[in-house]
Amino acid sequence: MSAAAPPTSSPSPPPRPAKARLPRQRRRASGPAVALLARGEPWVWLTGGTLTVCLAMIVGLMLLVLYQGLVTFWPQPVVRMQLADGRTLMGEVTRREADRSQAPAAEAPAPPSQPTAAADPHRDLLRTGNFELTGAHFAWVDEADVKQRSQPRWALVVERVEWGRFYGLPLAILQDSQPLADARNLEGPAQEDACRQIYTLFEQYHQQARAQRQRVTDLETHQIGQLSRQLEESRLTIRQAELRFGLNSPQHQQAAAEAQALRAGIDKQLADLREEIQTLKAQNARVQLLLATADGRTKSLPLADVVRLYPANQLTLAGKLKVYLSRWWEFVSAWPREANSEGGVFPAIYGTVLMTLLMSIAVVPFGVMAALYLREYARGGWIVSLVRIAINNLAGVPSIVFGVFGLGFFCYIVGAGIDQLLFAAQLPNPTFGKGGLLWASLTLALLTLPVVIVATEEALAAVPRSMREGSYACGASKWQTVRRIVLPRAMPGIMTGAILAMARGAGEVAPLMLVGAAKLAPELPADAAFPFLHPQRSFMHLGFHIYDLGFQSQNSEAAKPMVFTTTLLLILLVALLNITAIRLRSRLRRRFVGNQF
Amino acid sequence: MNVNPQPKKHRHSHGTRPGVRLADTTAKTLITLGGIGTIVAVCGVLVFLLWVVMPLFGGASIDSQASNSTGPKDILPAYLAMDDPQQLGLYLTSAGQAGLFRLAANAPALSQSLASAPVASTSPATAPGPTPTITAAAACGQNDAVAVGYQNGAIRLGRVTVVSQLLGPDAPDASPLEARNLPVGQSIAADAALWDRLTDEKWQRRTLKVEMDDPLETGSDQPVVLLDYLQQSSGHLVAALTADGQVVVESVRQQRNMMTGKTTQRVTRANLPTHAHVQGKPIFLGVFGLGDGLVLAWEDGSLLRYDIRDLQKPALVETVDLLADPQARLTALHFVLGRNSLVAGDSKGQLSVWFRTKPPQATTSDGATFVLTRTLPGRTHAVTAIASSYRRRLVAVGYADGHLDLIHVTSGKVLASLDVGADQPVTALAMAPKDDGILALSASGWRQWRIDVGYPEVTFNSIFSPVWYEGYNQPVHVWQSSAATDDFEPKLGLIPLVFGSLKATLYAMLIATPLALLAAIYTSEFLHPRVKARVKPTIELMASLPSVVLGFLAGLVIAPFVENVIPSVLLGLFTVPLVFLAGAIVWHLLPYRLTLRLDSQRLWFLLLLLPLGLVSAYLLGPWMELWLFAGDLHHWLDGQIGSPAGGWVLLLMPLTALLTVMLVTRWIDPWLREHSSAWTRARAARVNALRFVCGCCLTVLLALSGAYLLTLLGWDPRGPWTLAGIDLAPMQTYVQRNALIVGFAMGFAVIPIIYTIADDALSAVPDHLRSASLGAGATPWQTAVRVIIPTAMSGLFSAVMVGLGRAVGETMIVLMAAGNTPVLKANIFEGFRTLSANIATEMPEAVRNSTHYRTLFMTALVLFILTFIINTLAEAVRLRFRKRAFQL
Repeated sequence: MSAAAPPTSSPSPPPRPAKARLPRQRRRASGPAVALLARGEPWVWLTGGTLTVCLAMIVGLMLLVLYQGLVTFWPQPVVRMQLADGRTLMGEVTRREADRSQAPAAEAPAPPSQPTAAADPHRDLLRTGNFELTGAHFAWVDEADVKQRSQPRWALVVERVEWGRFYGLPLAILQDSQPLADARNLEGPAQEDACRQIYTLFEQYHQQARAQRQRVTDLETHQIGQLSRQLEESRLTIRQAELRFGLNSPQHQQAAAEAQALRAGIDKQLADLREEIQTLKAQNARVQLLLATADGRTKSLPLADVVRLYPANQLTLAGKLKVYLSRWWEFVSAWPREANSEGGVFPAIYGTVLMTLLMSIAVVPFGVMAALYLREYARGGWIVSLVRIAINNLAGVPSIVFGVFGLGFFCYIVGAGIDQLLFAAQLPNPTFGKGGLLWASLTLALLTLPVVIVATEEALAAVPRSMREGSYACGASKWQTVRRIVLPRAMPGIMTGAILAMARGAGEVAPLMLVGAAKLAPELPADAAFPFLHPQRSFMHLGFHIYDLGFQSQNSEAAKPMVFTTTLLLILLVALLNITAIRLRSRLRRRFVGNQF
Repeated sequence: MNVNPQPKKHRHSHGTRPGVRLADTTAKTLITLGGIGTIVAVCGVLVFLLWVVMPLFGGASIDSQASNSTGPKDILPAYLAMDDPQQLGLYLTSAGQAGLFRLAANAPALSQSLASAPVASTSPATAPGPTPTITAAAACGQNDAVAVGYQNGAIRLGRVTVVSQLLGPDAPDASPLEARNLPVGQSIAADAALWDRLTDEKWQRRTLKVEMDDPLETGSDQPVVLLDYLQQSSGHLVAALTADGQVVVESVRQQRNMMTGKTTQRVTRANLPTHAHVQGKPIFLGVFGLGDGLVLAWEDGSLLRYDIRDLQKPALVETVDLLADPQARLTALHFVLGRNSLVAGDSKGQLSVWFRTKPPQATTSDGATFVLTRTLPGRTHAVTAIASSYRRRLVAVGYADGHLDLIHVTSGKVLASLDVGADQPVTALAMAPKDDGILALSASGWRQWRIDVGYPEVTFNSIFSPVWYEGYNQPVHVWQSSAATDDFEPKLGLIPLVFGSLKATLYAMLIATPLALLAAIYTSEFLHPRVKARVKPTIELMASLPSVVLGFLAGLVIAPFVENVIPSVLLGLFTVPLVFLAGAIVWHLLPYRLTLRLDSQRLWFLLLLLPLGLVSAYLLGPWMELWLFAGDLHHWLDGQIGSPAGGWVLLLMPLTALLTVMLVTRWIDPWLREHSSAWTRARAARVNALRFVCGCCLTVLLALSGAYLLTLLGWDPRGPWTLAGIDLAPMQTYVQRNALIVGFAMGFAVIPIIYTIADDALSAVPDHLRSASLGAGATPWQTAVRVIIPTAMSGLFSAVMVGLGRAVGETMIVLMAAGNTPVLKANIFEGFRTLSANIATEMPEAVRNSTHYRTLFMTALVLFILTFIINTLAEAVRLRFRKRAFQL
C-alpha cells in the first residue's frame, strides 16, 4: 500500500450504536481503490475539460477573426489557369475547398475506380474580376480541369473605382490615343522592358489623375452640394412664409422674389461648376491604360478610374507591405465604394465613435445622478431595493426592445412633435421624425443606463463610511461631502461604468437597425456645414455595416473579406474600451486598499 | 487681548453659509429630480409599450353619425355604395334608375334620380324598346362596374361613375340660379347635378355618368333573379339565375397578342345544370374570386357548388346544407374580401363562415370541400343584410330589429354594435371604401356612421390560438405579416415566434449551461488562483464580443463549415468528453509521485486533450456516418435512406451514459470498495481503467439495443411527430442555418454570463466550510460536490436564469444564423424565427400605428415581460443566496 495515499478516513472508527454499525463499517472500507474513487478524477477532468473548451472557443474565435482580418489585404499572387475546355482564367485564389461532389464517391464502399482523381480532390475559388466583360466576379475551378497553371510576371491587379477589380496584362499606355509606351507586338526582353516602362509611366501619371478625380469629387459633393442646399433653403423660406402668412401674402411673394434672384445666381454658378467638372473629366480621359485580359480581350482604363495598381507576381516583401498598408489606410480613411463591398469604412468608424460619444454624454450624468440618489439621498427601504432590482433587471432586457421603444417614442412621437413645431416647412419629409443620430444615441443611453447606475453605485458603496463621517465631523455639508470626498473617490468606478457602457453601446446593433443606422449615409452626421452637428441625420455604424455587408450584399463573396476587416476593427474598438475599463477597475481597487481608514 | 475679529469668525462658523446651504439644497433637489426622473424614464419604457399595444384590443370607435328619415325607396339591396369622402350614397332602383343622394343630416331629400339606366348605349338600335324593370343587379368590388339583369332576361354591363367638378367664381355661368345663390356649406340638386357650395367662391358640381354596354344574350326570356359579376385582369365573368331555374355563365376573356399588341375577345357561355328538387326562394348566386367556381344558395340553406374552371364542362361539385338549425331559413349570404369566404346569416340571427378547403381526404371532383369554419357572434333576430369591406375581411351585418354589427370574419371580433333605429329591418348596407364608414338603409330612412375600425384582425385568441385562415385545411398557428397580393390577409399568430425564441433558448442553454457551470466549478475549486486571474478575464472577454460579430461568424463561417462536417460535429459531442474522462483514467495509471507533482499543471494536459478529441471526431466522423446513417447524413435526415436506428443511437447515447454511471455507482463501486482493501494503487488504477472501458462499452451496447428496440416499434426520430401543430421530431432535413449553429454561437454570448455569476457564487461560499470539509478528510471533489455546490446552488440557479434571459432576447445572432423562417419544428437541424429577430426584420417596414406595427410592439412587450420575469426571479434567488452565504 502506498504511503502517499491521502487520508480518506480515520483508521480507527469510534464505537457506534450497534444498529448503525454494520452499514457504516461497510462504507468505511478503505484502501487505494477507495481513495481513487473518492478523488473523482474523471469528473474533475471533465469540468476542467469544459473550461478548456470555453477557452478554446474564445481563443479560436479571436484567432480566426484576427487571421482573416489581417490576411485580407495582403496581396496575393495572380494565377493564370488554362482549363481543359479551352478557357483561360486569371485571378487570385481566394479560397480552396475539398470538392464535395467527389468526396462521397471516394468514401463509398465500392467506388467506381477513379485512378486519375488526385488524392486530395479540391477546387479553387478564383477571383477573376473583370465584371463588365465576364459578368461575374468569381469562378470555381476544379483542380482536375486545370491544364496549366502559371504566374505571368507582368499580371497586374487593378483596383478600380467602379466594377471591382481588373486582372490583366499591360499592353500600352495611351495619351490622346497615342501610345506613350507600347508592349504590343513585342516579345521577350523587349516586351519586358515595355511593360516596365508602362508601369513607370503609370505611376508617373496616376498621381495627377487621381488628384484631378479627387477635385471632381470635391466639386460634385461639396460645391454643388452647397449650392443645392442653398436652393433647398430658399424653397423652405418660401414655404415657411406661406405657412406663416398665407399663400400670396406680401411676405410670401417677397420670399419668392428673393428666391428667384438667388436661383438665377446659383444657376450660373452651377453652370460654371459643371463646365469645370467637364473639363477635368475630359482631361482625365486623355490618359488611358490598355490592358489585355487572360482570354485575349483588350480593355482601356482611364487612369483616373484606377485606385491602385500593382504587378502582383513580382512584388518584393516591401512592395507587398506597401500595398497592404495602403489598403489598410484606404480602409480606415476612405468612403465605401461598390455597394460597400470595396473602399473604406471611414463613415462607419466616424458614425460609431460619434454615436458612442453622444450616448455617453447622455448616459453618464443621468446614470450618476440616479446612482447618487439611490445611494446617498434616498431613504433606504423596500422601495429603493425594489428600484434597484428593477434597474438590475433592465440590464437584462433585450436590446431590441429598447430599439422598439426608441422608434416608437423618440422618432415617431418626440421627433414628429419637433417636426411639427420647428420643421413644418419640410413636411411631409420628416426631419427628426425618423431614425437619426440623436435618437440612436438616446436609445442606447437608455439601454446602457443600468450599466452606469450599477457601476456608480458600486463605486459609491466602496467609499468607506468613515470618510463620509470624517467629512461631516469637519462640518461639511452633504453636498460638500459628496462633491469633495465621495465623488472623487468614486470617480475611477464611475469612469469604469461609463467605459463599459460605451463598450456595450459601440457593439450593440439590433436597436440601431430601427433608430437610424443606415446602409449608406450620404453625409457625415457632423461636418463643416452649419450647425456642424446634425443630430437628425442617419449614420453608418460598424456593427450594422457587418450585418449589411454579410447578409444584404449583392456580391457577398467579394464583401466577405471586408466583413472580416470590419469585424476586426469593431472587436478592437470594443476590446480597447473593455480593457481600459478593466485596467481602471483594478487600479481603483488597489487605490482603495491603500486608503482604508 | 484683541478679540475683535475672533467673535466675527466664530459667529460665522456657527451657522452654515447661505452659499453652502443653497448649493446643498440645489444639489439635493437636482439629484433627487434627476435620479427619480431617470428611474421613471426607465419604467416609462414599459408604460409606453403598453400604451402602444392597448388599442389593439379595443373595438371600433364612432367619430360621428348622420341620418335622414327620407332615404331612397325601392332600391336593389345588392347595389348600394358610398364614395370615398362619404358624402354621397349611390344606388340603383328596380325602376331602372341610378341615383345619388347627399349624406348630410341637414340636407333634406336631396336624393334625385339623375339618369335612367339604359342611356348611353353604344348602339341604340339594339336597345330594347320600352325599358323593362330591373330585377337584379351586381356591383363588381370597389370599381364602378355594374351588371344589371332585366325582367325580360337581358343582362347589361356598364359603369356608374360620379363625375365631380370644382367650379370657381368665374365658371358657373352655366350653373343654375339656385346653385349660385346657395348659402355656403349647403347642397342642392338642380339641373341633373348635385351642387355643393364649398366657399364663397367655390362650388362643387357632381353628376352621375352611366354607360351601359349592349345586352348580353342569356338565351332565356325569363326574369333574371340573381346576378353576379366578376372582373379579372384578363376579362370578366357574369353569372345569372333566371326565374325558370337556369344558371347562365358567360365569360369574356381578353387576350393580348404579345407580338402584335392586338386584343382579341373570347366569349364562352355555359348553362349549368338546374336542380328542380330545390324548393323555395333562391338567395344568393356568387362566383369565386379566381372565377373557378360558383355557388348558388336557396332559402332552405342548401348550397350548390359548381366547378366552372372549364366552361365547356361545368360540373356540380357538391351540395352543402348551410343551416345547422332545421327551423331556420337562410336570409342572407355574402362574400367577404377576396370572394373566397361566404358569410351566411339565417332567420334565427345565426352567422356562419364558410370556405373551400382542400383536405387530402376530399372525395369531390375538384378535391375541395366547402366547410363551416366558424360561427360568428349573432343576435336573435333574422339577418337581413350583409355588406363586406373592400380592404379587409370585415362585414357589416344588419338585423331585422334594426341593429347592426361590425364583425371581423377571421378573428370573430365584434368591433361595434350600432342601432339603425325605429325597430325597422335593415334593408341594405354599404361600407365606405376605406373602411371608415357604414351606411345603412331601412324603411325609416338612412343612417351613416363615420367610424375608425381600429384593429379588427387582432384578438387575444387570434394571437395565441390557432386560427382557421382562408385556404387552410385546419386552424393553424401562422405568422405571415405581408404578401404581394391585395386581398392578402395578415396572419399574426405569435406562437411560431414564441416557439422560435424558446427553441433558440433551449438549444443555446443545452450547450452553454453544462459548459459554463462545469467550467466555473473547475475555476473556483481546482484552479490555481494565479491561473484563475488569467483565465477568468479571458472568458469574460467573450462577453464583450458584439453579438453582430458572433452572428456573422455563425452565419457565414461556422454554418457552411459545419454543414460539410456535420457527422464529425455530432461525434465530437461524444468524443471530446470521452477523451477528457479517458485522460483522467490514464492519469491514474501514471506513477503516483509523478501525478502529484504534475497536479497543478493539469490544465495543460487538458488543453492537449481537447485537440485530440476534436481530431478523433473529425477522423471518425465519416465512419460513423457510414455505419449509422448509410453513408450520407444529409440524405438520411431527409428520410430517403437508412434505418431510424442510427439517429436513435445518437439520441440515446447521453441517456445511456447517464444510466451507466448510475449503474456503476450503485452496483459496481460498493463492490469495489468492499473488495479492494488489499489492492495496490497500481492495481486499483488498472481495475478502474477496466471499469471505465466496460462502462463505455455498456453505454454503446445499451444505446444500440435501445435503438434497435425503438426501430422495431416503428418509431423514427425523423418524425413527423405532430402535437398541437408543432412537429416535435428532433432530427429532420438539414438546413444550413439551424438551431445547432445558433445554439453554438449563442454559447459565446451566454457562457461568459453564466460562468462569471456562477464562479462568483461558488467563490462566495465561505472558506471555513471548504476547510472544514477538507479537514474532515473529504477530497476536493467530494468537497465541491457535497459542500460547495449545494451551498451555492441558488447562486448557480440564478446564473442560469440570467443566461436564459440573455438567450431569450438575443437578436443579431438569431437574425443572422437562424434562417428566419417562422416554422413550428423542434428539429435541431432547421431554422426558426424568434420574437426579437422578427422585430428587427419587420419593424423598419411596418407602417406607423398599423395593426402590424402594434403587433410588433406587442412582441416587444412579450419579450420585455418575459425577460423581466426571468431576471427578477434570478435576482430574488441571488439575494436570498447572498443572505444565506453571509449567515454561514
